[in-house]
Amino acid sequence: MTTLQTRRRQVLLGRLLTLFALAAAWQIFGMLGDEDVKGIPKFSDVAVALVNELGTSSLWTSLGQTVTTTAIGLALCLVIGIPAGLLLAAHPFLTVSSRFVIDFCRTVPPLAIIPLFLLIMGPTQRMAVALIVAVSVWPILLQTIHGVRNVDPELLATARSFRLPLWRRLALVVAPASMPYIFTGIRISATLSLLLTIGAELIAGVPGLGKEILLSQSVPDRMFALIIVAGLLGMLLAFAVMAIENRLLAWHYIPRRMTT
Amino acid sequence: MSSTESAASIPAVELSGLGVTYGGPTGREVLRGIDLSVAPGEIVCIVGHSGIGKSTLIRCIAGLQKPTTGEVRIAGIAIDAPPATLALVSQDYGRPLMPWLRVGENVRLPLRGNGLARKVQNERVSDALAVVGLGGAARSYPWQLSGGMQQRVAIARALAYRPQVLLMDEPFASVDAQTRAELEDLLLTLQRDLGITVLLVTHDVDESVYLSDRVVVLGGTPALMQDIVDVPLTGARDQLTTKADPLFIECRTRVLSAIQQSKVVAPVS
Amino acid sequence: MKMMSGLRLLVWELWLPILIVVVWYFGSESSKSPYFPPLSRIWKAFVDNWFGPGFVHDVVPSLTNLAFGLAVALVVGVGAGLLLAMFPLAADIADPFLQFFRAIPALAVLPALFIVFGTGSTGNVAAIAFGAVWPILLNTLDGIRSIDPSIRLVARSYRIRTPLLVTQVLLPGAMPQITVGIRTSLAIGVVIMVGSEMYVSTAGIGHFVIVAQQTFAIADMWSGILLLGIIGYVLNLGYGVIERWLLRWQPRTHDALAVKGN
Repeated sequence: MTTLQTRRRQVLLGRLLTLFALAAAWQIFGMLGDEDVKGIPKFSDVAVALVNELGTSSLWTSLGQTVTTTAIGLALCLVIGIPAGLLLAAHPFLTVSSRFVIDFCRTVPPLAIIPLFLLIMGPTQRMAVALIVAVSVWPILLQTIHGVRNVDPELLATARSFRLPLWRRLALVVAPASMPYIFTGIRISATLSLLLTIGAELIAGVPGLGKEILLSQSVPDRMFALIIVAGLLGMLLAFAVMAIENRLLAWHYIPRRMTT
Repeated sequence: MSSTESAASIPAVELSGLGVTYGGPTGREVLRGIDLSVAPGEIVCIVGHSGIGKSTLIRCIAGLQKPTTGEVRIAGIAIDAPPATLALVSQDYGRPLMPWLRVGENVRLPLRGNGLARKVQNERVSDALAVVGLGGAARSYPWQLSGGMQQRVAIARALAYRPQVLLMDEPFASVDAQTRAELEDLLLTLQRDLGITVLLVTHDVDESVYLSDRVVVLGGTPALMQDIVDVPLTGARDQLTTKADPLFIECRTRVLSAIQQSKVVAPVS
Repeated sequence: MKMMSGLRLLVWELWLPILIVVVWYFGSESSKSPYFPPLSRIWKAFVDNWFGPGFVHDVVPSLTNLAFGLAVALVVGVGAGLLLAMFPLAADIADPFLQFFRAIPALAVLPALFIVFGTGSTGNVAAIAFGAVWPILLNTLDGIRSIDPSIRLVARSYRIRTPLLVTQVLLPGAMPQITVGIRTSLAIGVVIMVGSEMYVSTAGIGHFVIVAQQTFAIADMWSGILLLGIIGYVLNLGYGVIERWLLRWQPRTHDALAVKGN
């Protein structure tokens, strides 16, 4: 057996052991807090609740709602953010003028404006989408500007020396060159969008997975199970974005980044 | 034999049957059967064409890599980890210096945590930097220095460490010819003044003959010792006259032909 | 010439925000909308609340919780990242688990954490810490792993011992990456701070805002939102200063128009 195979086996074994240890620790922890204080539910209970939940239609409905809200919000961010970013990056005056506003809006804590939106639009998915757009558009905007401004001047000079018209320069040089930056923005916005959707559902009662979690506060088993589902959803989203990124940016070496 | 005599006769570096194979018994054999005995105070250069395994050899000698067969002895003691009496200066000047430490701190780093008083450490640092001609550079960051200067810092760092054996892996490969000539002469001066044993890997044949007392030629796949060329050039060496010396040219030719030969001989793996 | 362009830059940067504030102020003066009261009233509420008792009652607890939460996240994140980087097998084993925990929308875990830690400020701190630790941890791990191997080889050849290795080689070397992680963690921390206070709390700015909304104290609500915006901005600015100090050894690259990515 080669060292590589031994290593793979060790890693696999290690992971299984860790999983087991975590589950066991959870189980014990859950059994401890079982007096009058409502503590953590036991791992076994949660596992059962999870399996049960997967069979209900309510879970899939709420899951669908969360996914739709996030997806539409993210899509709108792309549609608004990228063109706006391209526009603002076109001239230094525009870039500098907008910088303060973008910076300020970017750093407003995303949830701060939930009450306002809640007031105006009520606890609806529409409100959540509006929230997502208001908050998640900034990273995409910022990264687009960043990407365009960072296009290698040599590339642009070469394109101009070949007498390529403006739109061709944009499509063949600027767009691909700024893609890695834009994708970083998409990654950030995607995570943020999901976070906001769940936040809006949890806090404002917008229909979706977060609302289900809110409603099951008195049933800890179900609540924990739903939280796990949320975690899996998050992972799925991260993988999806990464997969798309790898396809579109195959020409650009992106080291495996574990950063947000 | 008196004790001083026997002490003098212990080789500074001794390689016996050293071999390196990657990937298990059926894998790729890189080095085979390297035997070498380096006397204290000697300068030995190791040459061979690129990719042959010179760096692997240096890493084994430095204790950074365990050879598959054979052993490495430094001052008579077999090693399996970097020994305290050895310093390594490797290629690509910029990279082995820590960019986040000032030059002086870079040089001081190996001295820390060894029980040396802070004052002594600082003295050694300023001495070493002065010797390589960078006395005023202690407060600069590496990125503020040129390539040749950064390499001098790496040498100063090795010197401050006061090693008995200095290993160098293509130390002057990344600098321009003029700087290289200066660094070569610097090395000769230092070695003469401090009496360090030097093992230097290079692909530059001229450099190898210019610097060393002996040149070891590695060649073939797996790399074997093709030849050991004695360089009996006595007296001080300098760039102009030494390289015109017929003895220099003769040694150089011998080294070069040994390298050529190693390419012709078909390897049996 | 140089001073002139510096001044010009400042003017370019500020004209739009100033214009927006002015337009907002005068435009909203006669506003009858319940949702968008006149800016003057908002400003009055702002002063009343935040330069008054509200500061101690709400701002201080919020920021203290944030500080504690981030501190815990920093210590645990850098410590764990360091350990995992030094034991590659452990890092490989832990990878899927780390990815899972990192991907959980931090707010989804709030209810669970409040059950474990109670609804007092401990719960808030725990929530912030839980959300903020992952970017720091993963970036520390990644940062150490991407230190040039020849640097670590040199350190090994000089037999530099572990405590010195950590403080002089690993952490400084990973610092550019770690600062990116801290920046993200700061943002997440603030989100969770606000979110956890909106979800369940008895004090804090987030709590204030949601209560104001529920009691239709719209001007107060706006004053809270503004405060949060300002806090977010100031924290980011402050962190920028800290980041520059942490990375002071890096060569200066001059791009006056550079927009700092997120």
